[in-house]
Amino acid sequence: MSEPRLSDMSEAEFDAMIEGHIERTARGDQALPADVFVDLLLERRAASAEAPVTLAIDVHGDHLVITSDDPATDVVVQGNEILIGGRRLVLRLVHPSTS
Amino acid sequence: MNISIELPETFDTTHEQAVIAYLTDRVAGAPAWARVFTAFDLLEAAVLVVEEKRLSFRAVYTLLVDRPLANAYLADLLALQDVYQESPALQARYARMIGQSLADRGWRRPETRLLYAYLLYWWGSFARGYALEVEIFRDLDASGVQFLAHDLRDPHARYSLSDLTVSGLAGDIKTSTYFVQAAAPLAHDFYIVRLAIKGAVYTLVVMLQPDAWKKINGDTTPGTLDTLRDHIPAPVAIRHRGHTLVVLRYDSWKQRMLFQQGGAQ
Repeated sequence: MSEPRLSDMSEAEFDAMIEGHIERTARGDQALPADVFVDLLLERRAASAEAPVTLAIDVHGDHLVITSDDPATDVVVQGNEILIGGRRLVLRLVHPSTS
Repeated sequence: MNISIELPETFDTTHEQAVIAYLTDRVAGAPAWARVFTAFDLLEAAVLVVEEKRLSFRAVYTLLVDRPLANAYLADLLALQDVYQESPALQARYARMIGQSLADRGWRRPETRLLYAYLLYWWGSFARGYALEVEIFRDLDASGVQFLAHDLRDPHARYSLSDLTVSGLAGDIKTSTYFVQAAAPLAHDFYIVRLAIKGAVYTLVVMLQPDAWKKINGDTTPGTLDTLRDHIPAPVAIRHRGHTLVVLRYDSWKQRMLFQQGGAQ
């Protein structure tokens, strides 16, 4: 038997599912089992660390504003500064904008 | 009103089943939880299309949940007498407002059910996370542990890198599901997290940085995830996927911090 799809559910079925979910959350915290927690935390952390990080740079007059597409990485950006593994990189424009 | 949802190509029926399993509390084991986390990762790239307007699911969350509900919830949370007992009902009361907000805009349709699930997932993550923080802050205060905490009432301080500092060590308080979902760099000296071990729920301090553990100057017992409950409250060093995690009961950690701060007998 195939699993139900959200779109296949009647309005009443879907509403009952949502209400059941909300009711369960009102009964307490959903803590992960320790083995699942440690295993998935380290697995996802490793995958995240290997993924490329794209930094976008906006130039506002003489100022640079850097933004990361993945704020969860260990590459921290703030304004024109990038922090990687304890090393602080400061970017500056060599030829300031003439506009 | 024309409404549709655009899902990333990689989001398939297994991910939808994972969302349903989450909503119906039928997630068990690491592979099933991994599918839940991946499903909600993928929904970050999903878009709600209303007429000509396109809104990412995250933008809808900001519009319908974060902006109107976050500060009000935190104010109500801070007014609770017993956060552990009372916060789940408060979280549920606010969760019901999300469905109403979708309906008020005409966005609660069969086509938007994944969006509704996404909003509830992230609302639950937010609400449970801050409830745990408030609970821990109050308990540390009552226990006499000296600490500095970020101000939850200040939206900027709320997103500070560390939730608290104890004896110069930077810490973070996270629910277990959010901790895994975020997969953020393990940059703090210590983490306080609530986990289930063989069916019982414990609040634990997970020490991830060996240097931080050295400052507490404690020995550890080598263990595994399976033997964790047999060892605690003794600190347990667990080796897994090339990492060593030092795990101990929150109460034991508090006693050690009190002793270090000169407050314990």
